[in-house]
Amino acid sequence: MNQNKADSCIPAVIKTSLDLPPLWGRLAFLSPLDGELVSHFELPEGKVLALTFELGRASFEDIRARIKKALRDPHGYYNYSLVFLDPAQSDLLKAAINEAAR
Amino acid sequence: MFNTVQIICASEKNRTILRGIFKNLGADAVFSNDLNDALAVFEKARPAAVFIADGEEPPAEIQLRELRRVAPFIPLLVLLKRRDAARAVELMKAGALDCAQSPWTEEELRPLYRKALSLSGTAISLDSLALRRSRRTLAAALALAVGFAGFAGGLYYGFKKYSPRALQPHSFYLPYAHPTGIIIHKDSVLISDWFSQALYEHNPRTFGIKKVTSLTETTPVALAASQDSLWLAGTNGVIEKRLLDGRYTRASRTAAFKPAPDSACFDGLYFWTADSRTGTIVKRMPGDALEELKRYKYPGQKLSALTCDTRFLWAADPGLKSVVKLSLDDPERIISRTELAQYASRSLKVTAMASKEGRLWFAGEDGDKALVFYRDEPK
Repeated sequence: MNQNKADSCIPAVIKTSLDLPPLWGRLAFLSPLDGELVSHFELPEGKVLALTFELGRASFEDIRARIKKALRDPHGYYNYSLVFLDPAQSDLLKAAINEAAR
Repeated sequence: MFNTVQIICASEKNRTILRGIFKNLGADAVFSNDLNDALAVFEKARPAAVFIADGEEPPAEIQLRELRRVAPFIPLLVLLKRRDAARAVELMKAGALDCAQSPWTEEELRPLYRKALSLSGTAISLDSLALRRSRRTLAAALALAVGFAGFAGGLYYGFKKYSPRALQPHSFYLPYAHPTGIIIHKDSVLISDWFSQALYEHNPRTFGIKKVTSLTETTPVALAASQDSLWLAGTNGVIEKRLLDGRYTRASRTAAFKPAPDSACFDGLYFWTADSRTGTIVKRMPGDALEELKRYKYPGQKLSALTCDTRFLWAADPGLKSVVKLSLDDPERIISRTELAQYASRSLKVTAMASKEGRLWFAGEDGDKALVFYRDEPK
C-alpha cells in the first residue's frame, strides 16, 4: 500500500487536561476517523486528548481523540492509536486530507 | 552502534549535567560552545545527532536552520529549559526531531537519544476504515479460497478413496454378428467372421477395429495361432496355414477334413481340432498336412468351442454352463469345470475360444449381436 506521506511527521500539541501544561508529539498516521501519535510522554489508554496541529494550509485546534491503544517501542517512545471522537471534526479532517492530497 | 552526539551548550553547569547523562546513555558526547564552534567541528565529529540547548544565542530556530543547511538529514533535538509545548511544536516545525523538557534527566533523554537514530514521515490516508475493510475482505476471500481449496481437496481425496472404482470392461460387443475364431496377440486380437468372410484385427483395450482383411476364397469357421503363423479352418474342412504378415499370405493347406472342424488350437507341440456337432476332439501333428494322431470323445455334455495352451485344453460347454478344463494327455478326462456367468444369457452361443497368459477369451453370438469377453483362467 503506497500511502501519502507528509514531508515529516506532523508535530502536534497534546492537551490532556486544562490543569496540566500541554505535551507534544508527532502524528505518524492520520485519517478522518483515526490516527497514530508518537510521543515520548507516557499517557494511559482510554484517555481523551485534544490535539492541535497543522495539515497543509489547515490548522486544527483541540481535535478530540481517545487513546485506543498504547504501545511502547524499543526506543522508549509511545505509539498511541487514536480514535477521533467528533464527527464534525472528522469531516474537517477529511476535507483537509483531500485538499492536501491534490 | 555509531553513538557520537554533538551537544551545543554554552553553560558549563549544563554541560556537566549533560556529560554525565550522555555518558550513562553510552553516547560519545562532543560539546560545542556555540553554533560556529559546532559547525567548525561538525565535519570532523560526524555526529549521529545534534542536541541544542534552548535559551542561548543564537536562538534554537537559527541553529536548527543552519544545521539543516549543512546536514539536512541529521536528527536535531532541542533541550528545552522549560516545559512549553507550543515552543516544542514550533521547533519541531523548524526542523527539530523532538524536544526534551526540563529538567534534563537520563530518563527524559534516553528515548530521544535512541529515537534520534531513526526517522520516518507521517502516513496519511483518506479513509483507513475503507482500507481496513478492503483488507478484511481480502483476508476473508483468501480464507474462503483456502477453505474451498481444502474442501475440494478433501472431497476429491474422499471421492477417489471411497468411491467404487470403475470396472475395466471385460466384455465387448462386436460390429459384426458371426464370429467363428479368435486369437490373441500382444497388441491385437484377431477374430474371424464367417458371414462377412473377413479377419478383423482389434485393439485389445478398446476393441476398436484396427484392420479388416477380406478372405474372399475362404469362409472361416476356426482360428488357431502359433508364434509366427495362423491356421484358418474353412467350412469345407480345409485348414490353411498363413503367415502373420500384413496380408496373411497362405503358406500351406490341408486336405478337407471330415467332419469339418469348427475349433482349432496349437498347444506348442500338437495341433488340436474339434467338431462341436459330434463332440470329437482330434489330436494332430503340426505339419502342413495336420495328420491325425488320435481322436477323443468330449467328456462333458456339449462342446461348443475348444482352445488350448501349453498345459490344458479348455472347452466351453453350454450344457454344463461352464468352462471345462481337460488334460492334454487325456482329453477324455475333465480336470475341472467352472461355471461361466455369461451363460446366464440363454441365447449365448460361444463359437470360439482362445487362451493367453492366464486369461480365457470367448467369442460368440448372443441373440442378434456378437460379443467377446474374457475371464481369468479358472484354478
